[in-house]
Parts: sequence; C-alpha cells; structure tokens
Amino acid sequence: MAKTIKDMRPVYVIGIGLDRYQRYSERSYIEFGLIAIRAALADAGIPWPEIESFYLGTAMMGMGPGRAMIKHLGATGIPITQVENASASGSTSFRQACLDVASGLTDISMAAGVDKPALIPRADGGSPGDLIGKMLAPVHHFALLADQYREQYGVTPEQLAAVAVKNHSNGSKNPFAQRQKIRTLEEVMAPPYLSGPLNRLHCCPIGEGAAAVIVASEDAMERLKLPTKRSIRVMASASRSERLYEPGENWDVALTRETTEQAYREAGITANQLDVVELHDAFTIEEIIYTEAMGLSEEGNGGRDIAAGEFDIGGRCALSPSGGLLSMGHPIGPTGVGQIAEVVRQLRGEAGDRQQPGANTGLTHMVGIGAVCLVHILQCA
Amino acid sequence: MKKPIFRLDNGTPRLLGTECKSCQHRWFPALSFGCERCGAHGEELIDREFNGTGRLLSRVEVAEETGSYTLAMIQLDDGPVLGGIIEDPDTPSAGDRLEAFGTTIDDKPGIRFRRCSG
Ligand SMILES: [Zn+2]
Repeated sequence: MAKTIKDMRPVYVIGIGLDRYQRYSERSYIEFGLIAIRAALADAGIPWPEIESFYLGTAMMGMGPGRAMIKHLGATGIPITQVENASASGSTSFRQACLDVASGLTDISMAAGVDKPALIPRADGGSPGDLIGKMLAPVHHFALLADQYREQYGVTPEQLAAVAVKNHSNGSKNPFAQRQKIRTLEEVMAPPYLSGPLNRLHCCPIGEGAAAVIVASEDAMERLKLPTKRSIRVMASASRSERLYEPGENWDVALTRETTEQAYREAGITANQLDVVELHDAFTIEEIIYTEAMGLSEEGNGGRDIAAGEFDIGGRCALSPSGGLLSMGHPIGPTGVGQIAEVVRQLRGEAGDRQQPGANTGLTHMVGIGAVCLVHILQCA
Repeated sequence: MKKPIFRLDNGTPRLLGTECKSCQHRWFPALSFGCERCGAHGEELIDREFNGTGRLLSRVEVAEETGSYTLAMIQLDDGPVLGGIIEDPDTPSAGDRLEAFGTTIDDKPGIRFRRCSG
C-alpha cells in the first residue's frame, strides 16, 4: 500500500535562508547561493557538516552547478542532486529533501534554489505566428484566461488589479522582495499593456536570487537540542502533472484543484483552516483562479473577495504575504523554496510587520510549465 | 523543414491535424508520437484535415511597436482548441462563430480568423 509523507517519519523545517531576489547582475550564483545557505544554517543553529543530503532547484544554470557552490562550505561528500522542474524546481527540491528525512535515509537534509535566469525571453514573449497550437507565451495565455474568466464571472479590471496592489503592498514590507514599492490601483491599470489588460505590474519580474531551507527528523532535533517552537512540521507534499482535460475545461484550475485536494487529504485539513498561502501568482489572474481552485473562495468570487480585503494580511487568510511572485519575484529555481521560507517565518510568528496574526497552518503552491503542480502544507509543531 | 500546418482548398483553409482511431481524440497541429488520451500510436494515428470554423472562447488586444492585433482562443467545430489572430472590422466576442480565411503574411500564405460570413 502506497504511503503519504505523513505516514512516514515526521519532518520539520528547522532553518530558512534567503538572498534578496533582484534583477540580473554580474554576481556569480555561487556568491548569493552561499549567502542563502549560510543564512539557513545560522537560522537552524547547525554547522554545514550536519547536512546529509543536498537538493538544488535550478532550471537555467546548465549541468551540475551544485557542487561548484557547496564545496566552499567544506566538501563533505554528501549526495548532491540538481532538480529541474520548471517553475516548480525549488518546490520539487524541497519535496525530495523531505522524502529523504521521512523515509529515514537521512536525519537532516537541505533544499536550496538558485538561478540566474535573465537570459530567457521576457514575459511578453513576442509576436505569435500565423496560426498557433495551444502553447502561447505565458502573458498571452493568462490574458486570454482573464478574458475567459471575465466572460464567465464578470471580474472587473479593478478586481484584477487589486491582486497586484495587495501583493506589492505585502512585498514592500519584505526585505527579500525584488519589488519593494507600494503600487496604486491607477498604476496597476495604466498603459502600456503587454496583453489585454495586463501591464507589467500584472506580471512577475524574473530575476536572480537564492533560497535555502533545512529539514530534519525528531531524532536529529533531540540530538541537536533544537527549539521545537521554531520547528514547523511538513504535513503534506503533493506533486502532480496535467491529465488530458475536456475541451473548454480550464486545465490551470483543474491541475491546482486536484493537487491541492490531495494535499488537504494527506494533511487531514480543509481550506478554511489555512492562515497563510503562498501561491503561484506569476500573473494576477492566477491568484484569482487558484484561490477558487483551492476552495478559499466560491467559484466566481475570487476577484471580489481579494478586492474586498479578505486575503490581506490580517484578513481571514493571508494570500501571498511575501508579496508573491508578483512582488517578491520569480527567479525560477529559488521561488518554491522561498515560499517555504515565508510560510515558516509566518508560522513561527517571526514575519514582523507582515505577520498574519495567529498563523498556525500554511500552504505553498507552484505550477511549472510542462505542466506540473506541487503543493505543501505546513503546520506549527 | 517545418511541416505545413494548413493548406488552402480553393481558397478555403484546411487545418492539418491528427486523429486517434482508438479513441477518436483529435489534435492540432499534427503530431504522430502517440495519443495524449489513450496512448495509441503508429498506425492508430491518422492525418486529419479540420475545418477552419469554430467558436470564439476568449480574446485579447495585443499592442506591439509594429501594430496591434487581436489574439484569440478558438474552439474548432472539429474538436481541437487553438490560438489564432482575428482580422475583422468588428471585434467578435466570446461565443461568436468564426471562420479561418487565407491571407498573405510577410509575403507568405497565412491564416487569420473572422466572423462567419454565412
Ligand atoms: Zn487515443
């Protein structure tokens, strides 16, 4: 009988570290990758030799960038695996590290993400050809989805823009965010538009950055006398790929719904227990449709609920308190790991002026083109 | 050399796709690796020509330096969903009937969509 992560040994996040996401620079990935890794070790209060396996989420760095980076921490000979799963690379590296600990292969593992993806085509993609198959540049795909959603449910341009206003406001309080500027509704609705009603503030910035988290077993936490109140339990790890959906069915929504439902079942929780959610808001419309797919809003009400402030910090559930991909940024490899870091910070009560009060249960969600979806659920120990 | 994705039959566009004989799933453009629905491959997959008529699902205006255009997702009557560019003096809205028509794009034959004439 197949098991879920909760049927195996309990896994806890014991350390988190980030380097601020930013525009492409001349820095080496080794430099800022090590900043995030050393920050995670310092946060956990353990030295590098305690790490027994290392997973690196990276999509744009070519072959084998892991050891060239971590050898500078002292080469201990541990297994290193690069994980490429498009935008979900970091989330997948986290899942692999959790599975090592849950299965008993290791007591302490690290998942990191690092990328310098500035050389990929910009989000606006370029002009489509004469006639195209289903694959469109993401900005056009999501602008078309926004139009379809508007037809079905009547979402207003103001509601769509409210997502970007909220997430930029959250990101303005996050020292690790690429965009730290508050934006007004007028700015988010102003031309020039890249596609349909979407200007650049409706689209996430793709830059460079690094994130790292450390996961551990109860054995390791006892041996190292780590404080349990700063340790956050991993309750579920769900990973799925697209099926073939019926014509006209929204496959972005369907994939997220299936993966999230699986995670809820594994964790034994329902959507209304979530206090914080970090989701894949690469484009504003995504936050609206995923909010509904996750059961946080009724179908067709996502835009209205977000615009009404229900998902602000201090609302019934804080959506993208880090600023999300829209404001914190989306450096690809690190993004999913950075989501874990934010939810852990929130559940520890260490998120400062972007703290969701009383946060006890959180969820992270990434989709990757290709197309995959990963959902993790975390809870205070 | 890229395979053509359409041909003009006395000026009427025919879209070149694939049908699975095992489960009748159809897709565009043509790809003969295997059926996404049932996994059938080889001789189970046959070339199919689809009519360029269908229904508009969604559309957006895209403004670029070289000019603006209307991009649309279209549900073909023959099954597949595809993206295309609309050229019509009155921009159609969701649910409207569309048809493909042959035109010249960058000195090469191409296809655009417009409201159904009939
Ligand atoms: Zn088939």
